[in-house]
Amino acid sequence: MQSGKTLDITNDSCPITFVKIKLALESLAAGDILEILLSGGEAVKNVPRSLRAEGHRVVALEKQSNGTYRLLVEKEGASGKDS
Amino acid sequence: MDIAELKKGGFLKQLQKDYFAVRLRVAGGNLTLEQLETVHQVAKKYGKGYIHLTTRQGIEIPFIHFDHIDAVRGELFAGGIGLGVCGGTVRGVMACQGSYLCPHGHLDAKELSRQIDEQFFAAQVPGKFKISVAGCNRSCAKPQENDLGFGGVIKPVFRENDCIGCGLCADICPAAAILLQDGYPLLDREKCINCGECVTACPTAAWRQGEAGVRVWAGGRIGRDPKLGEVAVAFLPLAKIPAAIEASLGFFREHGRSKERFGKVIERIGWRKYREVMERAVRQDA
Ligand code: SF4
Ligand code: SF4
Ligand code: SF4
Repeated sequence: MQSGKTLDITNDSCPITFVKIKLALESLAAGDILEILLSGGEAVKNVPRSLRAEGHRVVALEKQSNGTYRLLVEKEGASGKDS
Repeated sequence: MDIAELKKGGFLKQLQKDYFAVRLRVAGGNLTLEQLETVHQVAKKYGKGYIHLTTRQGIEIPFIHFDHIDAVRGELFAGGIGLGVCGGTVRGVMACQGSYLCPHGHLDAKELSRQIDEQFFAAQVPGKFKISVAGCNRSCAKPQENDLGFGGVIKPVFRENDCIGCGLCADICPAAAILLQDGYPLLDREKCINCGECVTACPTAAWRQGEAGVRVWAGGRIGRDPKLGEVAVAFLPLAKIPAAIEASLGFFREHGRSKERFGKVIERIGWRKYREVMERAVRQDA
């Protein structure tokens, strides 16, 4: 899995979270992986799901020991899966 | 023209002599721009330069003079707006944004409120009867504050192949109905409250929406003796909603005293009896 950018939005809430992710994804190429650190509660309920709904692929979502989450998302537009 | 007749038709007598506030018929809190234009024109021509937004997503045009009542009614109708109601009737039906545009929604609340309005608006009952529809159990349209309230619920279905084992669904399930076993979620249907949060949150759509329905609350009201509605039916299939409303109105008509609120009637006659009536109606209506 190629390493991409990391975006920390643990201190943000909607809709700032979405704006930051949108901008971060725009700077990536199709198929690149974006690592997103986000807080529990509403953010983790909404962000991964909506990324998927916008066509990106959620590769992994892990709860961290401090209660935040680490999300790996692959930017949409890649042909097929990781090779 | 007598006052009682006026009242039924949505003209509310004001303190000011010979003036009425005209209540409009609004379903689900949406008006088209054309309807809004009509409201604007009528208020401008006959009112006092403003409109009033009611607490239940309705509109009232204040300061309509007695002499203009027929003209106002006619111009509103011509512009696609009906009059609201007062007294012992089914009132304007409220709705939240619902699944049409809210990410949390599991029910097209606007559409359901439109259908309920079409079928039951202004139906005669002993006391006022308010209905509200919410797209999910977050209850933005406050179904529990209404004589009858509906909230979208769903039965979750699992597709193992899509699951990445993140555990989010188990974390966020408000009923603790999902346990992780060997990294995969396992659903306890007994505990599940059908809120659909797992379906909404799952980042890979491994949880999907199965059968859709509504939770029904009854007996809620604000007024002089406020009380939240109680759950009358935990999961009612969408097709049974008209039968459930019909049964509730029937129960109200049979047992209610003039101006009594629905919840008071249920409390007086008994929840057990009301639930029986509901169960029967929902079962026999194919
Ligand atoms: S009740 Fe649910 S569907 Fe309706 S607006 Fe609130 S969150 Fe959205
Ligand atoms: S949230 Fe979805 S992907 Fe994550 S464990 Fe639950 S079902 Fe699997
Ligand atoms: S529908 Fe709600 S209660 Fe049922 S499993 Fe999903 S999150 Fe839990």
